[in-house]
Amino acid sequence: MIYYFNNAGEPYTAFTDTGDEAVAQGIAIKSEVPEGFESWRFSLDPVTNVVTVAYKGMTEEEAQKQKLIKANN
Amino acid sequence: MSNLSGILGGSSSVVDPRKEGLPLFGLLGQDGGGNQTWNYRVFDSAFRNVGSPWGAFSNSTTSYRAGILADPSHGYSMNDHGDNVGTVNFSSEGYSSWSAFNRSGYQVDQYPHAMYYSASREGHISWQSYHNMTVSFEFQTGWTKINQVLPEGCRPRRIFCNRRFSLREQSGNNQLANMDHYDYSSHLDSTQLANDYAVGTGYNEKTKTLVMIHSGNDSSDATKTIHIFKSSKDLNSVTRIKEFFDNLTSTEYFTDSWTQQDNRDHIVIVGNNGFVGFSRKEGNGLTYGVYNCNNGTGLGTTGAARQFGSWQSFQGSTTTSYGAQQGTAYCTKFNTTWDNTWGLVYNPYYYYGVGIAGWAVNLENPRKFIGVSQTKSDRGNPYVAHGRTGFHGGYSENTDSTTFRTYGFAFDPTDSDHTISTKVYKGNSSGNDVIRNDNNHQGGTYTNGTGVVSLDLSYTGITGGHHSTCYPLLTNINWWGAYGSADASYGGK
Repeated sequence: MIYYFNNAGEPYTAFTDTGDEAVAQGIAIKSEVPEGFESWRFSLDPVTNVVTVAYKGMTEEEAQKQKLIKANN
Repeated sequence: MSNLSGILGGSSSVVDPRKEGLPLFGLLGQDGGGNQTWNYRVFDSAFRNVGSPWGAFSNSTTSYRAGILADPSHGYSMNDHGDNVGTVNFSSEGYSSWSAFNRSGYQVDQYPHAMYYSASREGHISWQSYHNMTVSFEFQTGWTKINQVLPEGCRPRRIFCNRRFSLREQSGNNQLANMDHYDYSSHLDSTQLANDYAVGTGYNEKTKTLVMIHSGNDSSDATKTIHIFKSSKDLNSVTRIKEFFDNLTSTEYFTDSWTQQDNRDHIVIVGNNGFVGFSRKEGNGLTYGVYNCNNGTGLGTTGAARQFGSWQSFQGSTTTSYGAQQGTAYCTKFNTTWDNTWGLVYNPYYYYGVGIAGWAVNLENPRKFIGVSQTKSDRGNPYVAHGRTGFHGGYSENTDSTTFRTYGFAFDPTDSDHTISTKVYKGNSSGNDVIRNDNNHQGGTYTNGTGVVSLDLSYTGITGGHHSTCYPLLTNINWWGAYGSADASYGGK
């Protein structure tokens, strides 16, 4: 699915009108992301244009718990 | 003659005693356990240190401490809650993760207190007792505080809470006796009394207009009645609430229906031009609508006849973001710039308080609004007012080997035309990025309604407070100092 990231590679929007306008202004990057993940798990390398999915293979609940464990250690 | 009238207090040059200097903020930096360094500073909007906290300890390994170092919750011994506030990584923890939740965006709104602490401009911070937090004023009923649009430099100094058909005045973040209570039901339209739960209220001091939403319950009922009260008395100036209602010059209402997951998530922004912005939460994002609430213009009693355009859903990135449905403490927040020309309606991007997803709304004309987005999922901090027409906050990453950073952004106070895009001023990492070596605007320009500003990190030039690993906690200050006083926080044009 299409997703838009800001120039720092952070999630920006899933909406095409807002995303395309931002791309035209040079403040967003259009990319493909896999379906079935919440946006906080996405990041984009702005140089290579490669999308990373954090905690890939985990459910949202598992990923969130794992993130919390990591955060507290 | 004009000088004479000013001396005699007869001109508009008399400064409102509520008016403060430009915003201050506090920054707490610690070493890992808080045993060696407990560095708490208060900065003005130019990042000049203006606080003078006091504290003492006998040596680094004892609990013989005084001042801010002796705080029962977060001082050296930490006996009450067993954790320090300095290094914790706030991610998705809720209110009961006491040390973590200090960094939640839910801590700060337009009112000059915080949910978890009280911080003076002199540099003393003291935490509320977390015991009994779940029955506290802010935790249980913070959502009933009215959203206020005030004059330049003023934050609400009186707390009015609207629940059911009662407007109450509260003395602060405590459970002491109400200062006042007034049942206004006799002023409501008699056909609309079935909607007997107040679920969102806004007040504009300039126009002395109070707008309130009532619904069938304070959870998810869709029916809505909106009453518009216009008075000749300013609510913030009356001795008793009754005076405001005794002096109504007009009252109108209209009905509408909209769904949301929890009615306590409403924000009501009464613009200077009589248009009113309503924010509600649907799923993980906020939805915003604007209605013409100018009385005496024959607009009728249906929402359809008054609505400007249609409801606009947030167009930025969303992920799981909790609100009042998950607990009253997590209701949507409203904050304003120092000059009260722009407001910020927000909930967190991520769970209970990290990142931001919401709206920047022009308070002269609430038809002018854009989305605001920042998508961090850990190491968050609250957002606070900054400078004349801006905000900053949201970032508490390690300051070891780098300056303290913050998401800073600002608006044009004269830009209230909703037919043109909104220019946002943003910071960056270097001086040359901000005071640019070209003629371009540093920031962006965003389409009304659908545009979304994604916030950029700004370097501040200050340390986090400790020479090594340090995750600064950003705090709200309860009084920024009298406007025009001869100190570093002086603000204005």
